[in-house]
Amino acid sequence: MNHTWEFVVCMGLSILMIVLCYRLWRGPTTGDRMLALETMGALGVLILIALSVIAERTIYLDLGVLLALFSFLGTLVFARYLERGLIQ
Amino acid sequence: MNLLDLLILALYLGGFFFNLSGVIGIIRLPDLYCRLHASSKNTSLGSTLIIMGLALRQFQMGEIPAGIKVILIGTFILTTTPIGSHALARAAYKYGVPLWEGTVVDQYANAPEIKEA
Amino acid sequence: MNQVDSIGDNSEALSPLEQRARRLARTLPPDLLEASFTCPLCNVQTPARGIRARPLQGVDQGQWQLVFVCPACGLITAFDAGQITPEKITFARDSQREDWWNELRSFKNAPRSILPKHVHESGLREFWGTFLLTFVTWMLLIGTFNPIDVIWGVVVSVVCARFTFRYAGISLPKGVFQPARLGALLALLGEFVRQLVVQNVSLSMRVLNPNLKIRPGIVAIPTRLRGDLPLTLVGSLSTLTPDTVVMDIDQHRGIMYVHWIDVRTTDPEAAYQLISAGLEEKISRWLV
Repeated sequence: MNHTWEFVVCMGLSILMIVLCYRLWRGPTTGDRMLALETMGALGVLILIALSVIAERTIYLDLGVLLALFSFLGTLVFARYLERGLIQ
Repeated sequence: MNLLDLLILALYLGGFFFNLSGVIGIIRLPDLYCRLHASSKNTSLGSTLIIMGLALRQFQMGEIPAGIKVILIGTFILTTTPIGSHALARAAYKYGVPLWEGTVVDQYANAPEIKEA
Repeated sequence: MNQVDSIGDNSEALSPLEQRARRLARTLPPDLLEASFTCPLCNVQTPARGIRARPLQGVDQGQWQLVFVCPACGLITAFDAGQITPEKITFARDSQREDWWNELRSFKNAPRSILPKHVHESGLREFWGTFLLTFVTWMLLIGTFNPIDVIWGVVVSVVCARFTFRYAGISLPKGVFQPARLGALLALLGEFVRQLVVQNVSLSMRVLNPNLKIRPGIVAIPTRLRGDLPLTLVGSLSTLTPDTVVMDIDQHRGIMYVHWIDVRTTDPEAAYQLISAGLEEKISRWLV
């Protein structure tokens, strides 16, 4: 089967991730950088799922699940760190 | 090129449009709290649309369990994005990230102390 | 744990009650140091060295109590004057403790037991809720329905639920899935999807507009819902749907602080009508 569209979606999302690097680089506060990272995590999950369709390998989906989980966990832990000043 | 293909293409396009506007919002909007709007809303709807398209594609390829798993990931993203952005907003405010100078009102500044349940 | 430990020796302006509590905690009888304490929650025997004085929180602020913090599960057990249970503390030797216990017996004003924030009141309902969630997640992740996979899923879910159900606190309110309520659930979902699409289109237009017309601000709006599940729902849904990101929720006063990207009114009641009235009405028709 032809997977051109998924490939295009992958490319587009990668470009969005590169654009987000601007916010990651400049972002005046740490929170902005974390926000950019969180969004990049969500886009990365999409890219992994699209890759699993392109390569026709369902094993990539597990990577997507893990990336979604850990990007969420990272945001929570970081928010806690920002709020309390320490992780306990 | 049947109807299902068209539907999938429409989902991809819509999802990509919302993701794009979310990223533009993150770049353009003036302060962290406004950027959180773009990040939490647009990105979650865009991700959900693209994921629906990809799940349909998996179903079309005959990979039923994989499609179900893709839908699970979509539900997970849709559930966790608002929670993460809420945590980030509160933490940033407590940490002292300034509001944009064009902010109209801030009723959280002199809020009475909130006791956790 | 840290909160208890961090009560230092800044001894200016201590109330008499506080002084007494600190003295009691400081002058533990020597054999109490070698005693062991049985935690009522997890039944683990641990050394009773960790007895501390700590300020009461919540409604009884300003009072002090003696507590023991279980290092295994974090349960905070208070030594109430009337409720001292020396049976729960097994002494190594049986001496030198009479006057300390008498002093403790006369020390009033403490509730018996406080659950720490991450431990919930829990029973079979919570166990089955956690089990179901774990099992459904397992089945979705595995994605096949072989008997072997199902059996392993049950085993793993029972083990996970056994060890986590006190902390997860997952229990659906009674009768959520009654047929009469399913209509309300469907209405909530429909409203959610409609608002999600409408809102995203409006936010996209706002962002892509070259003039960037925004009037951000943080407003306080009332909320009429109580309880963890309804508040979580309304917080998450109104982060996703109207022009708002929830910043904080004050459960006791029933106030929600939201960051609104286009402040149209600062009057709480009008803002409530604009932001969350529809969602709250549908949620309360489903849950309450």
